[in-house]
Amino acid sequence: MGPDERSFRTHIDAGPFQAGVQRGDWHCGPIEWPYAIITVRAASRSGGPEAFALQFELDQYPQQLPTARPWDPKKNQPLAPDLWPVGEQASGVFNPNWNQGALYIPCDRVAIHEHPGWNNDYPSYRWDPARDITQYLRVVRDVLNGPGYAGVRPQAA
Amino acid sequence: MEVFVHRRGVDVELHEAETDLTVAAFADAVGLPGEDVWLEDADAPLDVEAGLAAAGITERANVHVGRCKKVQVSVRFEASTKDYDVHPATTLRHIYDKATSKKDGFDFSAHDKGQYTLQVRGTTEQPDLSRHVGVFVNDQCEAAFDLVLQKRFQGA
Repeated sequence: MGPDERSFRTHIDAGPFQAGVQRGDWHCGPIEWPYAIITVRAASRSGGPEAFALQFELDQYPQQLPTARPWDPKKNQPLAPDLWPVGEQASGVFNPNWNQGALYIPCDRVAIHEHPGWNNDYPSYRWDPARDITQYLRVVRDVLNGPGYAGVRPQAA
Repeated sequence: MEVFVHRRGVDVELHEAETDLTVAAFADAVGLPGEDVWLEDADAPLDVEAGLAAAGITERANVHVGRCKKVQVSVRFEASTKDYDVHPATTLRHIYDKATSKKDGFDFSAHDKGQYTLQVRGTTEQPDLSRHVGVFVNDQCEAAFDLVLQKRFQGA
């Protein structure tokens, strides 16, 4: 096991991650390094799921930022874009028209690579390698539980 | 049993503890001998001679360990400030609810309440609202926060 995987496994056993598990905010599923599935609770919305799974790519964690995409754990494949979360900030963060392989947030590796100015614009959300994966998960949890979150797009019958 | 420990200056820690440990021995075991142990949102510290289970600490309970008996909290919104006296194991969620309420705070609408959060004054840190206010105290048992709008990410 490499130092990146060892750090990640240590972090998900530690207080901040486990406190989120205890609150029901998130939990970790299968880890097939450098990938890990983490499921994040979503507010109850008509037609919306109880939670969304994300597939994280975590090579060189925590020195390198993580990136994540919505995941369908039953099919073990990326979640179809028409099942991505929608509504105010959710539609911006989960934006398949921008990128189907990442989330549009400042602590995502792909997003910050495209938006280096975010490190100055959004310092509260800047990835800190001295901390852990919960700094990413908190952003996702807050988006999926904010008043603007609206579930998923209405599905065709 | 496992216990979540909140203490000044660090993120929440998960500690293993024997259920027959006394509260005083638990504080010692987490490296804070002689300091008080509080159940989350409690208004009095636990009896130091009691066993953990007898004191009400259950599996994966959240406790605060620290020396402050009270915390003087200042919450600023725009040019105004509200002050509150609370106990150190008070969650930031409780502070946030108070500071955004009509009765004791800045009278936020339900919509605005979902848009703002607490930021530690003088920093860019926006702690999880599940954390205890006693984590953020200075040497005088004071803590200061600003109510800030949660950002939408856009642009370059």
